[in-house]
Amino acid sequence: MEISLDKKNNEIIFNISGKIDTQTSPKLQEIIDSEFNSEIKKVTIDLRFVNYISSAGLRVLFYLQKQMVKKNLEDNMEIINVNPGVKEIFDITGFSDFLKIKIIDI
Amino acid sequence: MSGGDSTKTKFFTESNIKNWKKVNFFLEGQFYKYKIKTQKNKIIMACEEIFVNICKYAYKNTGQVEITLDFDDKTAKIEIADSGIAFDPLSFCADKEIDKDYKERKIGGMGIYMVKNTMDKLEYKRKDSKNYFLMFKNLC
Repeated sequence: MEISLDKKNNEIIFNISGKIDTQTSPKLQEIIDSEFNSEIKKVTIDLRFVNYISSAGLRVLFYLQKQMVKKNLEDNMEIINVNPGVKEIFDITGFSDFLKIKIIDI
Repeated sequence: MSGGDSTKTKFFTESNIKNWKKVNFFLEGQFYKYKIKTQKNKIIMACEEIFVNICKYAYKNTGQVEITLDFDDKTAKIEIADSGIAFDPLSFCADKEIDKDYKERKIGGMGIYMVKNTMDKLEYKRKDSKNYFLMFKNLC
């Protein structure tokens, strides 16, 4: 898994590629912990190059969404460019009901 | 694979979450070898969830985990075995959590819920002091 970050004003964009699994999700959590601060008002997660997510990865997204809820900014987190296989996992687990998700344009 | 062929491969490792990397490498290799692309990520995800569960709960410290892959033209059959405490992963399923408002929701048990909802058939049996968890997935 690779992660690159873009920060502009109060927005942070995580561009992730590879698998978000048991092995890689601690790294994602670590980066969120170090980069997510009181100034952030908007979070975008770009999953264009992610085709695999397990419950370990969902846990991290869930954690991030809860951080936004604490700030009363739950509508300001968006997951974009979601591949069909990952979308299916979001649907099965009910994550599609509370995360703002945009599927990938193919 | 050509008509009627079946192939069985076994992988042994210690029940440590750090070993998921090795299991993943083994699984990816087998899918590549037998040119199976459909359902690959779902099957690997299901293996990850069960493997991680064994690492967390089966043994007091660590113990052995055996993964057997059995492919034929139409079906993938995956057996994951351990010699830990008697333990049916399906009893850890988070069925009730999924319908809750997410702000109230607990995240535990979701992995097993994902396995239950992506695989076609699941079986658990306890035999000779071992746990056997079987998953079936149609490849067509």
